[in-house]
Amino acid sequence: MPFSRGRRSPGWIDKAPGPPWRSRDDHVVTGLAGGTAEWLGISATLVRAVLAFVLVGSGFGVLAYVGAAILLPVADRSVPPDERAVRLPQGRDLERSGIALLVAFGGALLLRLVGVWLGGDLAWPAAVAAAGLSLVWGRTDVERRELWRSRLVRLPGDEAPDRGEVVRRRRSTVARFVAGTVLFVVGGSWVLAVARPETVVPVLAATTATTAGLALLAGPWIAGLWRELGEERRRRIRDQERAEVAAQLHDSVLQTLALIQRDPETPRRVAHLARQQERSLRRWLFTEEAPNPVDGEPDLADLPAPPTFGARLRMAAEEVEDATGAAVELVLVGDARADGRTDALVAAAREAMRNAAVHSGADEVSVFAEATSTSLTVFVRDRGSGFDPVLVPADRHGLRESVVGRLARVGGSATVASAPGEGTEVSMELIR
Amino acid sequence: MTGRVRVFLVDDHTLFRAGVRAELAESVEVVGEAGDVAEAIAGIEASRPDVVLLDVHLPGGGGAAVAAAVRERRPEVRFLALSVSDAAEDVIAVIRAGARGYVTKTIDRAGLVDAIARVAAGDAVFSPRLAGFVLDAFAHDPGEAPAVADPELDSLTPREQEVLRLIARGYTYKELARQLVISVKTVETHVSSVLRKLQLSSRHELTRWANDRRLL
Repeated sequence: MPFSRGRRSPGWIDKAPGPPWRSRDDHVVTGLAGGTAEWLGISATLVRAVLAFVLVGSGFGVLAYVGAAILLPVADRSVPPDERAVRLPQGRDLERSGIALLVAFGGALLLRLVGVWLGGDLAWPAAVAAAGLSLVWGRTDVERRELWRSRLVRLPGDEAPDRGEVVRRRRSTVARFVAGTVLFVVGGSWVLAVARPETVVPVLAATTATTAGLALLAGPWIAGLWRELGEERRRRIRDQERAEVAAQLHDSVLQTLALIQRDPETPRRVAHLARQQERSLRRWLFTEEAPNPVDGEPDLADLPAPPTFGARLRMAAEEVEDATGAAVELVLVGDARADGRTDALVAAAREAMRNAAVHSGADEVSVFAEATSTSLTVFVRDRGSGFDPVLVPADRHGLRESVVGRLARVGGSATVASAPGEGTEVSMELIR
Repeated sequence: MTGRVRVFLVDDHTLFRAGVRAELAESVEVVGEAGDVAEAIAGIEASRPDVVLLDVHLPGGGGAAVAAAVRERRPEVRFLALSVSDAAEDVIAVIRAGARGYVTKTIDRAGLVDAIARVAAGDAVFSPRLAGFVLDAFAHDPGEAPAVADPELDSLTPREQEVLRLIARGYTYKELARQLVISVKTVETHVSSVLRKLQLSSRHELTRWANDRRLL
């Protein structure tokens, strides 16, 4: 995730928003001083001098340094911020966290040796309170901040936030906050219960110090684990997607191409295969239905009937396409649960589509279906030869019986509008 | 309009661009082409076309990013979205970013030339599929209280719905005008008004609908 967006001016080298980072190129030990200097836009030597003073002056300075070195990501300053990927601490950094914990423990023992120990009866409650506080305080990592930002302002190129991810994150934040508050309150009251008035100030100081220490030590370790989990999950999802795409390409697209190569002399068959494959891919890409198996002729009759009117109408349109070779363009608005009456409408529409594809001479049939709360309407239109409705030719009797009659039996109605040379439109309606 | 319409092609498939270029060569002047968002923005800036044929899916942010970026600086450049996409939210996004129409890639040569001419003249071009998407997006869910911010922008008039339904049924503007006994110009006015609503509406339904679709 980049530190900043849209800052391509040379200004980025001096100062950049976001937390400081460790420098990859300018480092003596961990690059912390170098990175901080880059972040502040001041001399690295100055930062190192101040740092050295702090480190010598206080034991907690050492802990803070180690903690910050773990917490902050290494950034490569040789590329502009837009292309810079933050290297998130993982693997080796976990080891480093362990070492830091040991260092902290040793430091505490050392402090005890020189007599700065606060006594067991206060140290434990203080530690509990501190752990709580550090949990609450936490660390707003770059990713989470980016997430919040993307929820507030959508920048071009942002991916849509995964709702599940957002919920999970919010839950983890809430859980952390609650656990932290409980720990802090318990520890705090415990401290107050055992503390004598004259020890309150050192206890407060100790609490603050322990808090800082724990936040620096446990925080990054947990954050690191959390990130690794997220990274692992992302990788798994990516692999799964890749496998799925590969399977789809292999099962259908490659097979279709092979079929086309084997039979390139029959344009009608090639067009048919291409259309069939397109439909299958479309369904796979844009809906969640399973793609048709492509093995020459798909057997649509073998598939279980889908549960909605729209899906059944789509299936009928595909059957007509397969049977006649005409392209059926279906536009669907709204949908309804399928039942016996909607099935009658679908059957009537199928007959109208078949009629248009077979008799009109047009190579495309437009179908528009709309489902509202009060009615279902289907329009089947072609731009073919058309006919004079008064002089219905014998072959159009099918239309009268199988469309008009069929719909009338379930309480629907159908009208046929046509004129020679202007195509035909069959309008069907079913009041719900 | 004097002279031939100057067209810029944006599509990440070189093969498709070559095909469209060959198809359009005798009817319009193809002034440039691009395969991704950055290239497209720079190319449009340099060649100043009348109409940009814009693929909805593009590496680097999609057609919507191109339309949004160019519209700020060159509002006179018009966009016609051309896509194989069946995903309503992609199409609506490109329209909301400023495209004046949407046709599917299976459109024939005459249809495409006609659509380009219409867009160049400032009209809107709705394919049956887009009309379906728009009807769907503006469809009223009776179970839900409409959170309407601007009643004028956030719903379609009965006449506009009628026009969209006829487009969805496969009617051309001319056929539609005859059917409704209005002039083609009036049809164009209705369609442009729908386009404006689609682009400006803050309609809760529209955004919610697009968001819901995005999660699929």
